[in-house]
Amino acid sequence: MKVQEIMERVGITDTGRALAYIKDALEELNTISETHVRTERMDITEDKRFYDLPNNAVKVTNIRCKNHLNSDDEYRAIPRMIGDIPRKDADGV
Amino acid sequence: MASSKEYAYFIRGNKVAILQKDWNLSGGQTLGQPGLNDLGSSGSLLWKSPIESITDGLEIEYAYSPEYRIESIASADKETATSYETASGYLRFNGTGFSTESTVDYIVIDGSERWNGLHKVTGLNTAHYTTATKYSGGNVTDTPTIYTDVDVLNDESDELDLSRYQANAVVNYVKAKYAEDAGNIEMKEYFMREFRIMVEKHDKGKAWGSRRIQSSGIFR
Repeated sequence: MKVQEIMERVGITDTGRALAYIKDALEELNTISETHVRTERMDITEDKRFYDLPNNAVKVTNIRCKNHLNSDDEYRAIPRMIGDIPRKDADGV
Repeated sequence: MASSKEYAYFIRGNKVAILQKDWNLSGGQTLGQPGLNDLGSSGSLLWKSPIESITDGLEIEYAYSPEYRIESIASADKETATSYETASGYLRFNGTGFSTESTVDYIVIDGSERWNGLHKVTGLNTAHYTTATKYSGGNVTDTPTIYTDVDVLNDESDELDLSRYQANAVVNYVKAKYAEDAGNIEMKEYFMREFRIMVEKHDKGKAWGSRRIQSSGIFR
């Protein structure tokens, strides 16, 4: 569906405002139900604890690590940790 | 053959923290289970920052907002950067032989450890693309793919990259926002409810059959 068709259905003429709300809708849509999903790989660095989430990520759907609980180079989902980690982060980021 | 490892994560702001369980204790012994000194309150000390570097070791799956569409992935319409840096407070991707066609208003970054997604271009050069994205860090070696043939949602003739049913849900969302602007909260709530119902119905429409719980290890 084109932006113009959406504007006609809503009954509006101001394009800039309509586009802003449509972009909001796309984000909201992806937080409720993932319409566009992609996978990104990055290097794990020794002693580096914090890694940037992808700039355009609206919702993280899975985090996997290579060789997690396997030795076949498979990527497997890793669990979320709850609670404080007493050991200090070496890179201090 | 690579050895088995054990990881966990937590989210802190816009970063993900990766922790690895380390079985090599300070005494120099490699144990299959924690020693007495590591039990109790100090047992969690076994979790620490990754103890070794792994190329492509982390895989993040995420949803993104489809505010753009890559029109072409042909080699003529993509470049490979070699690094990024700051240029007067803005993000600049460096490389060689970049396209300088005047039609390149936006670029999509893919394969970067930080900058994936859409960026507005403010300066074109064969050696770098300057964007309108704020950045104040140093020069970082990164080799993402840069797509230059991108259609961005910025005028009435653009088409949403959604099914018709999902686009109808977007119509309800926009109606809700206009109702909210007009101070009509009742109507806003009605259209937001319609929006959510349509999104959920679309999701349910794709799931068929009985559901099964994976038998061993829900995190695998």
